[in-house]
Amino acid sequence: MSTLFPTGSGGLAARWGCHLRTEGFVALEGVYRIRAGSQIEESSDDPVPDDDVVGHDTSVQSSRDNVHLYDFHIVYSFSYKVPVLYFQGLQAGGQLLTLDEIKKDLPPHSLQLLNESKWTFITREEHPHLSRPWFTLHPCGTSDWMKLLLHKLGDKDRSLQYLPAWLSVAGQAVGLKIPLKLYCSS
Amino acid sequence: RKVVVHVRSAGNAPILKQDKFKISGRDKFLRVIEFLRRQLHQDTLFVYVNSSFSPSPDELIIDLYNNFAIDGKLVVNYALSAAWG
Repeated sequence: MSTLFPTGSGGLAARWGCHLRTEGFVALEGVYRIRAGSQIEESSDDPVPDDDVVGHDTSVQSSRDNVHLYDFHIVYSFSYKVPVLYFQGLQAGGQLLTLDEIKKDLPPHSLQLLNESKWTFITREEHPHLSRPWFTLHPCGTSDWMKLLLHKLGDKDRSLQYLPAWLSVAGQAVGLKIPLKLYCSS
Repeated sequence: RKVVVHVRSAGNAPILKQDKFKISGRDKFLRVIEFLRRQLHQDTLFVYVNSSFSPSPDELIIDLYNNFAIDGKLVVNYALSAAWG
């Protein structure tokens, strides 16, 4: 896994657990969204030390009914040769969220842009490692915009910056706020 | 406080006659995106900052400017590109 994804994205790796298998994936789990608002609270950031996908228990400060729980996985697609985002959301009672419900949790302008622009293609596919249907952002345009984002970088910077650059775009469709400091050159 | 934004075409995107403008730091990046979409008559634009990322439309201009401006300008690139599908 570490040979596929840059290990230099330190800030990113610290918050995402790496699941190392023959083919692994990077997971950010237990992201809480307060429904009908734009606040995001996050659960424990500890990387998961073993191979299993572990749910995080976190105390919830607001009414349980108003909180949605999200999981985000980055999986490498060997056919498209790019990362692919898989995500799902759960209501407090454990029911899966529909795509419309997930869209309602997005920050206001992201949702507006998503609806107006024609370049977002979200489908429901079987998760490559978990054998359950998750939502996913279709990867067919990814290499085009990654070329634009990484255009001016040298080879070394390109591998360090790949995943943060990719996440800045993929994250917008699902309302993941990436700290700007991740993109400041050291 | 107003900041200077310099928009630059990438790939085969058309070049705008007016490529520099001032915008309030308190505005969100959405204003830049909408400006470009209007000027270029395009709904599908890929808009990104030189430091290799695409800002969310909810980002504040002043945050982007403070972190990524070069020589007093925030450089924003735009391309005609379908992001997905």
